[in-house]
Amino acid sequence: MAETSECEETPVRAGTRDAVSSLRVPVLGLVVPAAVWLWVASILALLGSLKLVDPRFLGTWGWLTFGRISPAAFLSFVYGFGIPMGLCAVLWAVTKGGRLPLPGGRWFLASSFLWNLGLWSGITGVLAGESRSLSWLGLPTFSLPSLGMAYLLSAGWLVAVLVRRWEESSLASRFLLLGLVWIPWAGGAAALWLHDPSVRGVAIGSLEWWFNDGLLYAGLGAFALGAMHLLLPGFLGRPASFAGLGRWAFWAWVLFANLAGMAHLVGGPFPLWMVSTGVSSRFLLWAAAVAIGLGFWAAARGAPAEGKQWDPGWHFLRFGMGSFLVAAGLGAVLVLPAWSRYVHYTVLEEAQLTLFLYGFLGMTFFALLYTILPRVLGRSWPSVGLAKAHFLLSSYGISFLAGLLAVGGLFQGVALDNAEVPIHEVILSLLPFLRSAAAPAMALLAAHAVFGLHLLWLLVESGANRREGEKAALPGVAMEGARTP
Amino acid sequence: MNQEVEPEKRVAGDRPREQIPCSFVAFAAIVVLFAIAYFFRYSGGFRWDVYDASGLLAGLPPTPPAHGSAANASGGAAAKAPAVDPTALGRELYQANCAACHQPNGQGMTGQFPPVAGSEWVNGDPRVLTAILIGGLQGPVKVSGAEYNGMMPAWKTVLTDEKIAAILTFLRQSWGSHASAIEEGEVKAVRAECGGHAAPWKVDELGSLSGEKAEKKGE
Amino acid sequence: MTEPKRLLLGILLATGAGWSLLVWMPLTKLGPAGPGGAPFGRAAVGGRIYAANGCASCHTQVVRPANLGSDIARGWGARRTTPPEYREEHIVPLGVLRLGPDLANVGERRTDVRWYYRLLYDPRTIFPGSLMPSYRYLYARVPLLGTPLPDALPLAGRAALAPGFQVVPRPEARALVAYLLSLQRVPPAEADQSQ
Ligand code: HEC
Ligand code: HEC
Repeated sequence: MAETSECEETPVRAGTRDAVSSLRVPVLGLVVPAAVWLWVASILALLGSLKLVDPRFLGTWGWLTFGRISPAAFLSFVYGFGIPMGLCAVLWAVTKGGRLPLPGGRWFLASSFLWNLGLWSGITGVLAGESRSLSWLGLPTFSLPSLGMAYLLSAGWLVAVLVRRWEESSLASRFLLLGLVWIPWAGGAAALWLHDPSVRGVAIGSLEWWFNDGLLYAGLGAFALGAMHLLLPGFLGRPASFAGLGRWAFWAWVLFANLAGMAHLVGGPFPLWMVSTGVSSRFLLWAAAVAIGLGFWAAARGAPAEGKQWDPGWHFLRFGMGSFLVAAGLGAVLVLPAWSRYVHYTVLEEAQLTLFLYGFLGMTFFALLYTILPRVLGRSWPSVGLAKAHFLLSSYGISFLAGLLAVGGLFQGVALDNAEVPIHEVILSLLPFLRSAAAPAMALLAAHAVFGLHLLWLLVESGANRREGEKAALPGVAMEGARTP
Repeated sequence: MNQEVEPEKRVAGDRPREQIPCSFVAFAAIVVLFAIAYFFRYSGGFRWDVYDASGLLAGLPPTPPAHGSAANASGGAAAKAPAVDPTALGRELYQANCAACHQPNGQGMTGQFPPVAGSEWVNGDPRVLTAILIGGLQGPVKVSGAEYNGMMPAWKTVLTDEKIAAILTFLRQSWGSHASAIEEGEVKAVRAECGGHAAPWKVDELGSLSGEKAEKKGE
Repeated sequence: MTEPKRLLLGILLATGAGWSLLVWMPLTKLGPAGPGGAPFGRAAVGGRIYAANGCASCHTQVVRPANLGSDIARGWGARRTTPPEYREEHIVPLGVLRLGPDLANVGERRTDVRWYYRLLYDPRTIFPGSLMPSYRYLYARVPLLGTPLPDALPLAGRAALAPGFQVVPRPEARALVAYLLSLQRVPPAEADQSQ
């Protein structure tokens, strides 16, 4: 997958040449397939929203029925793009931003290969109708061994390196560690249980939602927060403010991310205390999120990052944190039964998910890529214009998508709550919003296309002419682990 | 490298010794308190058989129209007077708390859960009935001519006096029964008297309770 | 204990707490009555078809109590659904989104097999302008020899086929409809209750 991997890279800085070039293979082994998955995900998502424009569109083909492509789109985004990007952030952390060499890069390639193999078979399986409709656990059985092995191969060993090179009280390492270990622990437990025939009944539903929220908050969310803390010193020359508060927030995050999922089951067949646990946890997660956001914004206010140049990384990161706060707030406020009565099962919840996935996770990971790839490849991004286009298209796309879904969801919810309005009319009142959502979905696809092209350009350039003495992409503060020495 | 970071971090990292903004402290305090209060308020006594709550936050109080008489639900949206009719509240609470076992129509389930519709316990001595609710019931019991031997957990931690009174009044005045209503005060009295009873009641213990009470009433 | 060890332990414990409170305890308290009793037969197969085709992305199978929505007033069930109604099932598609009606009790509302066959073949013949996708790939087009098969769909107008052919449900469609018919989570007897 990483065609350009074989050759040594020209040094970015003398003395770190080996370190940086040892990163090259593994990072590209993660990034290149991830970019492809990003495409797959956005194409599937676009097809999904076109199907809501006209259900007859590609109507008779089972592989592309709405109920299969919409989960497939989410799954390929999360497992194809999100998790590899999380691993990328960990790679960057354990090498202290390319200053320490990385042992065992080849393993990484093997792991990436297995992962993508498993995921291709899995997504194909979902499209072929092998899924059990379990949201984030929806990948079919036959893809799991390969995925599991791949993850253990890279994560097991990354945990070891991360712990060996542990940075005392670094928030970045904490969050990354959480992401690294939560996913295999919980994913493994969930996968094993789902295949035990004696596990039946509503526990399957609570298992599904325990894992869903866990994956979003404690898995990928933790990766993205780790990446944020990792990148911040590079942009601002200082870590996030209020480190002590951040540690509190971290522990709250660890605990309540595991309990929050039940909030989705308001009104479902579960004892009251389970649902209340979920609702309360969502509120506590919100408080933790605001604490983290406060550390971010206070640091940003204290040391404005805006340099001479339009820095894509910083813009993406800021957008990501903004969406994070909004998504966490919505995640808490929407589940309060008093109004979840109206908004539950409406596309308003979809809007929150969009914000979290595309707005927070996606944008933060882009910030990571925009920052580390030039340093790993020893070349700056070829075009500021393309980066800008990517940012504008995706930020507008996400905002409009979330906005349309949110307003549409309100209409849908209020109409659903009124038993006099037949369901057909409920959907009719929602349709304009769903239909216009195809436009932002298209903008997102375009954004990801721009990013893909830009990445290709960067790879080709850095592969073709490895000239000596390229200036490091990002002037100014050096990019190191979470701490500036 | 581990030691080196620790001390220096405080000084170098947070150079201007930042003060956590008051607004955040206030926000966090409110959210955390709210979450805790919500959790305990709607914990349903941490029981596996309590599914519903009604309240300002846990779903608007009973329900404005429909459910009360679900049959004419589609038509009856006009009458929005909330909880004027005590049996409406009782029905609501019954459906939320009891219907999972005793079934929405009060008929119970053969061999497992005794019926409450037309049951002699329901239509009998109000104090015994209240005690059953407050303390729970276990062991063999005969209801409407059939034997049951199960266990109903106590409701004293889950339902307030007012709610218990509402449910019992509803039970005593529905499905063809016309027994007297039960007031909140009566429930309060029973709770004061035997709320401390730890295990669920046995049928024979209940017998003595009604006896005691009869005497007291006699005096 | 070093900091990473403490963290690892903390994360493990928190994950375990979530798992035991939300997965393990519900399984023991609300789970199946015994090792046997898992659903089997056509309806169980149909459950898998339901999941595989993502019906749950538009349909829920949860009747919420009256104070949490209009589900009961809409006639989707006489009361809220409780854990026993899902006790033996492997596939518990509670659902995420309501772009269509709740199906927890659909087998009671709609009892005509052929109605379902028509619906799944082309929902727009029943609900004009509906958003629900058509599931034609669950049907087979077979030559018409003599009289149509009993299950052949009555197709007319634009949907009509070339003469000499008929459309019959494949086994997947039959299983799916069997599953839908079996969805009576709030049993009929209870439905009469509300006077
Ligand atoms: C977990 C299931 C369960 C729930 C929920 C439940 N009960 Fe019971 N109830 C039982 C069982 C079992 C018995 C019989 C106990 C025995 O065999 O000793 C019983 C007995 C009774 C009796 C006495 C016998 C009769 O049928 O007249 C009354 C009255 C009663 N319950 C009322 C209620 C009310 C009111 C509620 C709601 C607040 C309620 N129950 C909720 C299981 C339940
Ligand atoms: C894109 C969303 C969507 C998907 C996917 C979907 N449906 Fe539907 N379904 C609807 C809508 C919308 C209606 C209501 C029809 C109307 O009034 O327009 C409906 C109605 C129904 C009804 C009739 C319910 C009633 O009470 O009248 C059944 C049964 C049904 N769907 C079954 C299914 C099955 C089975 C699947 C999966 C194979 C499925 N649906 C997939 C949107 C969807």
